[in-house]
Order: sequence, then C-alpha cells, then structure tokens
Amino acid sequence: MKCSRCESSDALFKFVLLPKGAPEPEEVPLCQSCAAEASPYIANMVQKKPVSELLAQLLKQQSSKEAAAPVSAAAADVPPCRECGLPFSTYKATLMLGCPACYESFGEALMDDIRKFHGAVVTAEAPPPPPELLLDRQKRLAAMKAEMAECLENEDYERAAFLRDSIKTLIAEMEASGEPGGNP
Amino acid sequence: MIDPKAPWDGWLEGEAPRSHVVLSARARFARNLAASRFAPHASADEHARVDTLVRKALEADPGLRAYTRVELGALGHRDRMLLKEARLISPELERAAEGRTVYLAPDRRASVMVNEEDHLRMQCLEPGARLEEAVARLEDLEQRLAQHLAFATHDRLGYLTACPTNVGTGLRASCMLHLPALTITREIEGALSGLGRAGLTVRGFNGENSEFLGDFYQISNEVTLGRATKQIAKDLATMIDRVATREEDARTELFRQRAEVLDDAIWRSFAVLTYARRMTSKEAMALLSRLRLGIDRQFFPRLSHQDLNRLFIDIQPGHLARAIAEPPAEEDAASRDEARAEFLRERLREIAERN
Repeated sequence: MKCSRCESSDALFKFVLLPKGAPEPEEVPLCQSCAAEASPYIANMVQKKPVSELLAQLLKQQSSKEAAAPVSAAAADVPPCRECGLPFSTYKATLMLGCPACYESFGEALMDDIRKFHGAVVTAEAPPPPPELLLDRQKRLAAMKAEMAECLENEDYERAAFLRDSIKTLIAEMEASGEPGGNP
Repeated sequence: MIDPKAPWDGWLEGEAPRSHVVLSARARFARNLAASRFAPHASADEHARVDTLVRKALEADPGLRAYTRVELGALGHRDRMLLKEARLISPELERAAEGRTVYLAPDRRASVMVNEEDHLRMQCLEPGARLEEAVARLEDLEQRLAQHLAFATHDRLGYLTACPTNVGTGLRASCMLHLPALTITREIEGALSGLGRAGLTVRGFNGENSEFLGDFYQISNEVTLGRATKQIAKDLATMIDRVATREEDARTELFRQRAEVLDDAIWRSFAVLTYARRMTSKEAMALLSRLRLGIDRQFFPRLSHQDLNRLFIDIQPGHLARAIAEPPAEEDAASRDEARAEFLRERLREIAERN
C-alpha cells in the first residue's frame, strides 16, 4: 500500500482518525517520513535520538531560569550597592553579588529574580540567633559602652580610660572572628 | 602535600543501602561571613583573611580540630583532579585553585571549601541512599562552625550567598543514581519529568546538564528559599525513593521481557572490558553500566555492587594516574586509554580470582 500523502513510498504506519460526527473512523496510511512529519512522537522513534538529547530538551525547558533574566527597563535605574559599590549591571552579567549588603541595596529588582527562581522571597526557617559565645561578647560590649558613657558623665576619667582600652581589645577580638564590632 | 595513594573516597566505604541504584548522597551548605565581600568579587588579601578565620574556627572546636588543611595552589593538577573525583572539592574549586583551600575530615566524608563561590562551602558525603545521615552531619558541622564565625544573614531571606540562587538555606542536597534500565527502556524521561515542578533538577556524573555518562543521574534540589532544610531533604528523599523504585521495576521488567537481547549486551560489554587494549573513560562507563545489570542477573557472583561503584571512580583520570607506576604525560590520551584498558583487565581478573 502506498502512502496516501506522498503517494510514492510504501506505507509503514496507519493513522486512525476519529473526526467528530463521522460515521466511521478514517484510516490514513503513511510512509515513514510523512508519519514523522505528522507526529513528533514518531519522529523521535524514527530518528532514534539518543536519550541525552531528549533529556537535554527536557532540561532546557526546566532550566530556563538559569539563563540570565532579561534586564528590565527598571534595572538601569538601580543604584550600585551602598557598601561595596557593585553596579547592578555587573550582578546581572555575572549573577554574582558583591557583598551581603547588596541584597538590601538592590531591593525589588533583585527580589524579582529571587521570586522567579525560588517561587518565594521569605525563608521558611529563621536563621538561629547568634550562639552564646558571640552573644556574650555583644552583651559585654554593650555593657562596657554604657558604663563608659556613665563614667564620662560622672567625670570618672580613670575608669573611663580603662573601659575604653577594654572595649578596643574586645572589638579587635570580635573582628578577628569575623563578627562586626562597630565603632568603638 | 597529599598522599595520592591514601584512600580519598570516604564515601565509597562502609555500608551503602540500596547501592545497586543509589551510589551516594551529598549535602552542602553555602555560608558567608558577615560584613565581608563575597569571594567572587574579593581580593586575594580578603580571601586570605577569610581562610584564617575558618582555620581558627576549626581549630577551636574539639570535633573539627583533626581536619587537614590543603592549599590547592600547591597541589599538582593530577592531585586536584583526584580530590575532585573523590568529591571532596568541586570542579569550580579545582579550576580556581590559586589561593584556595579546603579542609578535609579524617574519614574523607566531609570537607569545608573556602573561597569557592561562597566563603564557606561545607559538605558531607555518605555511601548509598543515606541522605538523612548526610544532612544530620552537615547540620552538626554548621552549628560547630557557627560558634566561632558570624555568618551573613538577613531577617527575611535567611543565609546570604554570593549567588541569589542559593539564598535562604544555602542547601544543596543530592543523590547520585545509576539508572541503566530506565535509560535502556527510554522511560527515563517520564521518570524525571516531575522534577522541575518539585524544585529539583538533574545533572550528569560530572555535573553536566546535557550528557549522562554511564547512565548516572544526580538528582538535587534547586530551590533553596521558602522551605526549611529538613523539608527540602525530605522531599528530595521521597523523589529519590520513587525514581529508585522505578529503576528496580524497570530492571525486573527488562529481565522478564528482553532477557536474550539484554544478556547478549551484558556479556559483550564484559568481553570488551576483559580484552580491550584501549578504553576511553566514556566508553568504560557505558560498558561498566551494563555490568550493573549483569550483577543483578547473577552473572558475576564475585563482583559486588560496591565493587562496581568503585570501578566507576577508579577509571577516572586522577584515580587512574595513581594506580599506575609511571603515569603517562597528561596530554598523552592514547597512553592513558591503554593504561585504563590494562587496569580494567587486571581488576576484572583479580575479582574473578577471588574466593
């Protein structure tokens, strides 16, 4: 039987069409190439694409988020990070931020990307509070600063000087472990 | 600086549940130090400062003191490859090398990379489908480090990372699955089709997203924000279980319906592995993949699933180089392929002669 479409090659497939209202199903014999044209499923089968290609297509659909998101009109107006000075365009080009403060600095424009990728903009678990060791130092620092302020008011300069030196040492210790110590 | 002959693949040792389908499980956290530039945009000085802080934090904890510090810039290319193949460092850290360090746990199942994309990338590896154990150990590691380091966090976003795709939990959990039956029957597409919707993704053996060498598929989470660490791990474990079960079913079905064709393919693979004089790693992985089904068919009583898992790793270039007395020059691919073929012949013979 010849293919009903090209009428030259032998038919290998028979498509059965069920048009609405028709009294009987219609049979359409097709050769390999016409069938492949009519149906992507058959095209795959016929071409015997390697699995990796099929999966690559599947992954391309899934990972469209990995492609750099087009720079929206508003992006041009986003000022650079107030701490490290990274321009928003550099982030867009590299997909790497410059420092923790970039997150606040870049605001909504960055939140858009985050929302698109994660489908969320809020963490489901609050980061744990700083551990005892670090909290202790924060508390000590705050207490010493408060005491120093009081000493200065009461003109107890000897004690104030002692506290000033202790504060300096403590800040150095905190910064040595990566903790921001703030201004002495 | 490192002894290539030492066993680096800690995650291949020990009991490995479901190791006929799940090779390994891995969990990593990305963390950065507060008030410091992220690694990709930081200077060499800043990198060194971060490394010092991490080193001090490890030394300060009695459980982490025994970690070994390795300077990647001081290693040869082959040794770096070895660490990458052992999954103790990432391909990115292997490439960057200069000024980068990694701290290795004594059992070689955990490592802390410094100045990769984030200041700290700490990871735990386990054999087989032990994802829960990997996550538990990781959380413990993180808590210990958090006692001595101030991590960059945000009230609403959680842990801050250099790339926003990691923000929140900074978690990437994954399992390496071996799915030869699903690949042969072409059911693999269907089996993996639900991944995107579940916030998961799949990569190849070496992290590629287009090629699946040896029928290996690394399934991991992609979304890190909006779900807690435990939930991400649980959802991933559920999906892994589902896919692994489908593979097991597909193998049973294959053995039932296409035994003759399959058996021929298995024995041909075995024949080539036993007699070939040249073997690329790509070909080796494809052939070894068939042996997996052969083990399930009970053709190779002295070859266990873990033996096979080890073989997949031992034929990689870095591992191969250390198994040979005089490794050929790195550019000499032909000699390497010959060495690989010889290694396989020897190994298979050794295994066959075991009691």
